[in-house]
Amino acid sequence: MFVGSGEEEADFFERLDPEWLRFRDYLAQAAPVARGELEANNLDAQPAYYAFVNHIDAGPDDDWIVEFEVVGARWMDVVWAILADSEPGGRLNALFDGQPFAGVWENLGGEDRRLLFFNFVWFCLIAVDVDDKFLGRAPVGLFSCTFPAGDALREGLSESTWCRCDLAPADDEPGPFIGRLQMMGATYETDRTSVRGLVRETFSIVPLASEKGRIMQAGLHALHLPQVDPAVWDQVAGGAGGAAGGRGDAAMPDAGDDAVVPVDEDGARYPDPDAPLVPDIDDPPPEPPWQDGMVFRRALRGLAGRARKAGRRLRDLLGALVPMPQLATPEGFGFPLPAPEPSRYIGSPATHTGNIFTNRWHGLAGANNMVANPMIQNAAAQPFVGVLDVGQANCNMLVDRNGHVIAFYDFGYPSDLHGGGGFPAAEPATCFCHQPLIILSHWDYDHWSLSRRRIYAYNHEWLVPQQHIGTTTIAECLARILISNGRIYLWTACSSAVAGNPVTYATFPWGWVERQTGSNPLTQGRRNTTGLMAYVCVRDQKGGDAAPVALAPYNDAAAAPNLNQVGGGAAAPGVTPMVSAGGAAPAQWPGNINWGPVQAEAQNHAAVRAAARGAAQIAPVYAGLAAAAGVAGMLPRVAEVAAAIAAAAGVNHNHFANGQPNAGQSYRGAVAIVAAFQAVAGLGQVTSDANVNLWLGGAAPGAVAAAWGGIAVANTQAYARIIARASRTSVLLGETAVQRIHRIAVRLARELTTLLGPINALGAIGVDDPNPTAGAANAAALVTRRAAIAEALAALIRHAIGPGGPLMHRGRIPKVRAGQAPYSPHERFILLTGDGNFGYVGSQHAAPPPVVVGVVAAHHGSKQMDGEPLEAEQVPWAPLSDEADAARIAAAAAAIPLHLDVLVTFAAAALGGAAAFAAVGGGGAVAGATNWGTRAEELLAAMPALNIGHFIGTVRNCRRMAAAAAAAICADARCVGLGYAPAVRTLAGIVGAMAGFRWYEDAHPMSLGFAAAHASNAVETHFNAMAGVAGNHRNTGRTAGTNGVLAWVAGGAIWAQQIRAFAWELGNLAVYGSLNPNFVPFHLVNGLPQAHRVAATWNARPVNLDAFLLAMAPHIQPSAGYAALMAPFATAAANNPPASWRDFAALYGAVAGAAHADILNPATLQAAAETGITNQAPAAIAGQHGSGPIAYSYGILPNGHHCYPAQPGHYGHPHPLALTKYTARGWTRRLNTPNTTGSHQPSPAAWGPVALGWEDETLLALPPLAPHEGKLRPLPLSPHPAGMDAIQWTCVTCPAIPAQITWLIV
Amino acid sequence: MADRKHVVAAGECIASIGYRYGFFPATLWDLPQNAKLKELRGDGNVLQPGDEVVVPELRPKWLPAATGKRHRFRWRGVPTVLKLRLLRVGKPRPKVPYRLEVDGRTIAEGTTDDDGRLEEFIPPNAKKGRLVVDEVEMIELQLGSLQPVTTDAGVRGRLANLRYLDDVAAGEEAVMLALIQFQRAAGLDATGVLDDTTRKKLTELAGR
Repeated sequence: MFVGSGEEEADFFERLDPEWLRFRDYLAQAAPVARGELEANNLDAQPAYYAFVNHIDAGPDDDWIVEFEVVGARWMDVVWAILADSEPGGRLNALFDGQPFAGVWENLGGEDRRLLFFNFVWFCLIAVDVDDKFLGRAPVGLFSCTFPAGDALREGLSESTWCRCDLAPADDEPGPFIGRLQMMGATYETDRTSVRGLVRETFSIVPLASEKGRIMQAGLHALHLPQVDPAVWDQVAGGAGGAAGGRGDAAMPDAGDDAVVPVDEDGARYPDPDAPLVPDIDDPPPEPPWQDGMVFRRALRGLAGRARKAGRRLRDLLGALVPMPQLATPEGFGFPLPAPEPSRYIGSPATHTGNIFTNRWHGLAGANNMVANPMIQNAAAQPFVGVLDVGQANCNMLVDRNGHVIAFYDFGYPSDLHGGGGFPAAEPATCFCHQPLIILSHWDYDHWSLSRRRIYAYNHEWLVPQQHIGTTTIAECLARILISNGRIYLWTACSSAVAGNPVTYATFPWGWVERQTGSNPLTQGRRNTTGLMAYVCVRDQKGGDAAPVALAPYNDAAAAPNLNQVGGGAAAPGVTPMVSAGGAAPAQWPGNINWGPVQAEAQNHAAVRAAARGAAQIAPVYAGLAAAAGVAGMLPRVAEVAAAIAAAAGVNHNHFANGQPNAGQSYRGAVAIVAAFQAVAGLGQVTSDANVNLWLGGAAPGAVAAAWGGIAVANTQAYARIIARASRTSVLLGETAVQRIHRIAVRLARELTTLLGPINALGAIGVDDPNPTAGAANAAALVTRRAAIAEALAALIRHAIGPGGPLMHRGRIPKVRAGQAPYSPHERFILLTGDGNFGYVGSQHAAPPPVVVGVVAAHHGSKQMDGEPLEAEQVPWAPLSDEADAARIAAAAAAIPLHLDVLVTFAAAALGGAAAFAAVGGGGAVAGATNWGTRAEELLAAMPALNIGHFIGTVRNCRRMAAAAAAAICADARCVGLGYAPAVRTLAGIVGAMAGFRWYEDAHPMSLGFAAAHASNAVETHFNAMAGVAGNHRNTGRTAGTNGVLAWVAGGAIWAQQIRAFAWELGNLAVYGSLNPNFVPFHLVNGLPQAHRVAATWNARPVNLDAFLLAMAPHIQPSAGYAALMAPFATAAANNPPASWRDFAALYGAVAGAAHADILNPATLQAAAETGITNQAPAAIAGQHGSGPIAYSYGILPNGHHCYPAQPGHYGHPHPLALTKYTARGWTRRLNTPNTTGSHQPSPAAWGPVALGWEDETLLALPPLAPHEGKLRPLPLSPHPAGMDAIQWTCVTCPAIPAQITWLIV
Repeated sequence: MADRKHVVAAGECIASIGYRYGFFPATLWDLPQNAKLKELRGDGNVLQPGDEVVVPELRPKWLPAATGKRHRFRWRGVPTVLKLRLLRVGKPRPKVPYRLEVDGRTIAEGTTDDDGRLEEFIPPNAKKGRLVVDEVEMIELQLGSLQPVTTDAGVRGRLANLRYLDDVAAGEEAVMLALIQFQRAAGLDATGVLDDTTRKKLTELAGR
C-alpha cells in the first residue's frame, strides 16, 4: 500500500510518466473487490514503511528508545523498481544484492564509485522532487518508540539498519512500541503528528538479499550514503598530507598552485559517452591517484563544466526517468565564473590588532602570515559562541569580533516526537548576513532541522560528516541543499590505507574541526561518536614562543579501534564538495518558501526576489536621473546605491495583483528613489550623519514623501538615513561593484522592509496580503516573463550570492589533515560537542590537551552516547577550577613517590570532610547516619546536609581535597601495580561522588536516589582502589589509642581491608570531632579550643590546599610534631572570631593523626606542594574564575517531564550522572537554554541563550570595562532584569535579530 | 423487443449491469433465464468476464400522479453497497479512520468497526476506488473486479488481497508458493494444489 502524507500523494500514480506506468501493475496492484451485500472483501496489509534506524539510545540492558526515519514503502518500491530497471540500477543490484554494504563499498572501483555517486544524486532529486513532476515529495517522517530490554525485536537491530514496519493507530502513549509519528509536510507547518504503535508482527529487518524484487539492505544504504563526485577526487594529485598546518590555513589553493591538477574541460575524466558506463565487474579498479596523500578539495576551476558533463552523462543514463538538475552556464549569468582565488576571510575584514596569531610553532615558513582569528576580541565587540535555545536540539553559532555570525555548529530544531513538547520558548533568532558556514556534528534530525524553518540555510555551505542517513534527511535537508544552490562539503570516512592516522582535523581561522573516532560510520552505523566536534579558539597563544603541542600524529589505536575502513576504493579521508552544483535556483523555489511566521527568513530572500521585480524600476530610476541635471556625472558610488535600492525596493507583489504592474506606484517609488539620490548626489558623498541632517533640512524629505505617497515624513527621514548609510557602505577588499550592489541591496531590503512594511513590503513579503505565498508565487511568475533586464539583474544577484559566485570566496573549506590539530598550551578554546563523546576526540588524548574554557554539554547532557558512557576522566578540566587545581596538584605530587600513608590520610580527610557536612545538616541526618547500614543510605542521608554544606561554601573544598587525594592515590597506585586506568577511574569516581553532592541542589528529588547510588558506587570504587594500595602498607600501630576508633580516624592509619567497614565512622568521627561528648578525651588531649580556632580560620575562605600543605610540612615531624604543627594555626585562629569550623575538622584530624602516626614524610609533601604551585597556570588568568561555564541544551515537555528523562534505566537529557561528571571536572557554572520552571528536574541555573567566550587583557579593552583576562563580563553594564550577568548582541542589519538579544554568561 | 444477452466485462457485476439497463439487480438475477448463471456463480456481484446475463426488455410501469406537481421516484438498488474488511497480518484492524474515494471523488469518511469492517454506498457503475486508511495508507480498489473463486483470476485476486501474492499476474510457481503459504496459515495441508477445500477456505477468509 502506498503511504503518502497529503493530498498530493493521493495523486501518486497520476504523476507517473507514461514510461513508468508499467511499474504500476507491478507495484500499484489494485485490490479487486466485489460490490454488494454479501460478505465483506477482506484486505490484508503489507508493511507500510521502510524505516531507517536513526538512533538508539540507552545501553544494552536498558529499554531502548529507537528513532526511525520512515519512508512510504510503496514509494520506495516504485523508486527501486524504476532504478533497477535501468542500467545503473541493474549494476547497483548486481553489486549489492546479498552483500553487506561496507564490504562491497570497500572494494569498489572508480567507475562503480562514479555510478553510485550518480545514483545517489538521482535519488536525491527523486526524493525532493522540487519540480513536482516525478513521484512527488518522498513521503517521509520520523517515528520513535521504546523497545523494551530483552525484547526479541531488538535482535539484530542497530543504528543505520533498514527495517520494514507498520504503524497502527494507538490510543495510549507512551508504552512499548508506541510512539509518535511525524510525517513531514511540504513545510514544517504542515507536518502531521499522530500516535502510532509499531505492529510487531510486520516488523522485520530488510534482508541482505532482495526478495521479490524489492530493495535490499545494502541497496538502501547505497542510495542514502552521501558520496563524493569522483571527479572531485580525481582532480587531486598527491595532496599536502602530513600533520602540519596552521590555523587559518583555510585558503583554497590559488590559481597558480602547482599541486592543482588542471581540470579537463573536455570531460576526459568522465567516461566516453559512447562507451559503456559500467565496466566488467572483474576489471581491476584503477589506481587511485590520491593514495599517496590526503585528498582535499583543490579547485573550483572548471567544476561547472564538469558538472554539466556529469549532468549530461547522468541524463543520458537516467534522463528518461528523471529530469536532470539545471546546471549553470557562464553564459546564463552573463559573465564568466570567477577564477579560483585564495580564500580570504571577509566575514570579519577587520585586522587583528593584538598579538598576531603566529604559525611559528606550526613549522611553516614565515611568521605572522596567518589569517587573524575572528574570535579574538577587539574594541568592537566580544566575540562569543552562542548556544541558542532550540529546545530538544542543538544549535551553536560563532559570533565574531565584528558581531558577525560566521558559522553555525549544528542547525537543529526538535522533532515532534515528544508529546507536543520540547520546543524552545521562542523561535531562535538566526542570522545569515555573512554567509555563515554550517557545520553538522552529525545527521540526527535535531541537529539539522532548523533549516526547515530557516530555509535560507539551504542556500549556504554545509560541512558534514559522511554517515548513513535516511530518506527523511535526504528529502528534507541534503537534497534541498543541492537544489537550492547550497554546497555540501563531505568529510569522508577514513580509509584503511590511513588507518595509522585515524584522527583527522581541519583548521579554520577560528580553531579547528575534528572528527571523532568512535567507529567507522560506514560499517557500524553509529553517528553520535563518528561526527564532528569543534574547538573554537577564543584566545591565541600569547607571546608566540610557546612550544606547540602534539604535532605528532595521534596513534592510540586502543582509543580508536575501529576507524580503519574505507570510502570507496582506498580513499583517504578528506573533505570535499559532494557535488559541484552550480547554477540558477529552481524556478519553483519561491513556491516552496514558507512565508508564514518566518518572515525574517523570507526577508533574507527579499533581495533576490525584489531584485527581479525591482529591476524594472531601474529603468525609471535611470530615466529620472537622466532627466535631471548631471546624470552623466553621477558618482559611481551613488549609482551603485541607486541600483541596490532599486533592486531592494522592488514594488510589492500587490502591485501585480491584477497581473500587471501598478504603474502609478512603481513610478512613485522610482521617483522617490530619484529624489533621494538627487539629494545624495547633490551632496557628492554622504559621509556622515551631519550630511544627512543637512539633506534632511532641505527639500528632499518633502520630495520623497510626495513622490512615494503615503510615507510619513518621519519615515522619509529614516528612509533618507538608510540611503545615506548605504552610500557610506565600505568597500571590501576585492569586492566588485556587483557584489557590493548585492550586499547593499540585501541590507536595504531588510531595513526598508522594516520601515515601509505596510506600504511597500519589499521583496514580496506581503504583510498586507492575506495570501502572501500565492502573491509571491504570482510575482515570481511575473518575474519570469519580464524584460531581460530584470532577469539579468536577478541572475546577477543570484550569482553574486550563490555558490561559485563572487561572494563565495569566503569560508571555503580547508584541508583535512591526519593526526592531531596543532595548538598552543596557551590558547583557550570553547569546545562544541554535538552528541559526541569526549573519549573519541583525539585532541583530548594529547598531553596536555587543549585548554578548554567553555563547553557545551555533550548529547544534551546525557550520560551516554551511542550506548557508551560519558567518562568523567575524558571530560576536559575546567581550568583553574577547584577540581582542576586539585587534580593538578595531585598530578604534580604524583611525580614524586609519595609515602602511601599520606595518600590514605588525605583520602580519609576528604571523606571526613564530606561527611562533615552531613552532621551540619542537623540532627535528623546525623541520627540517620549513625544507623547507616549501607553506603547508599549513608550518602542519601548525607546529601541534604551536604547541600547546606555547599550553601556555606565548603563543599567545593571537600571536592578539592578529594580530588587531590584520589589523584595522589592513583598516582601512587603505580607503585603497587594498580595501573593507571583504574587509578583514573578512581579519581573520576571520588570526584564524581563529591560532585554528586553538589549536584543535589540542582537535581530533581526523584533523582536523589540515583545520585546517592552513583556516589556510593564511586566511593566503593575509591575504596577498592585505596584498599588495594593500602593493603601493602598496613599500619596498625596507632589503633589502640583513646577510644579506639577515634584513633583510627585521627591517625588515618587504618586497616586498609576494613576501610569500607568503617566508612561511616570515618565520616562521623571526623565530623563529630569536637562536638560529641564521647570524644571529650580526645578533645582534652588535642585541645578543642585550638582546633576550633584553626577550623574557623580556614572556614573563612576556601581551603588553599597548596598553602596548607606548605604551611604544614615544615611542622610535621614524627610523633612529636603535632603540637608544633598546630601552633601557628592556633595563633592565627586566635585572631579570628570563632565560626563554623566543621569542614576543617576532617583535615585537622587526619593530618594531626598522620603526624601522630609518624607516617608523613615532610620532605615529600613539601616537594609535592611546591611542584604543584610551580605548575600553576600563567598568573595572568589565575584567580579569575573558580569553575568553568557549561551550557546545557535540551527540551522540557509542558508536563514538566524532560524529552529524555533521567529515570532509572534512562540516559537523561540531562542526566544527574553526567552532571556530576561535568561538575567533577570543574564545569559547575551551569547555564540552561530551556526554561526549567516546572521541570521535574529543576535547576536553579539561569536559562536562555548562552554565550561562551573569553576576554584577553592583552588585547584592547572593552570600554567601559578595564582590561581583563578571563570569562566574559556583562556588557552593557545595565543589570540584567533577572539579575544575571549577560551580554547583549544583535546583528546591525538583520531583521531576524529584531532586538538586542541577551546572552547569559554566568 | 426480445430479451438480450449482456456479456459481462471486467469490473461488471449484476448491480452495475442492472444499473446500466435500468433494472433492480435482484430482478435481473432472479430471472429464470439467468438461473443457470446464478447457480454457477452464486453471487451476482462476483461474475467472470464473458459470463452472459439475460436482460429482458424494460417493462413500462404506470403509476397515477397528479399533474402540475413535482414527484420523486426512487430507483431501488441505487446506490449499491461496498463492504470491506481491513486486516493486518490476518487480524482485524478496528477503529481505523478511512476515507473512500470513488472515481476521484470523496464519497465517505468513517471508522472501521470493531471487526475492521466498513460499509459504504457507491454508484453501481463505479469502477475505480481508493481507500485512504489512517490518513497515510492508500489502497487502490478495482470495484466489481473480484472474480469467482472457481476461476484462476478469482483465486489470484483473493490471494493478493490476503497478501499471499504480490502480483496477480505472477507465474504459476509464485501462485503455488502463495497457495502453500495460505494453506499453512489456514491449517490445511500445504500442497500448493488448489483443491475445493482450499477454495472454500479462501472464500471464507477473503470474503465472497
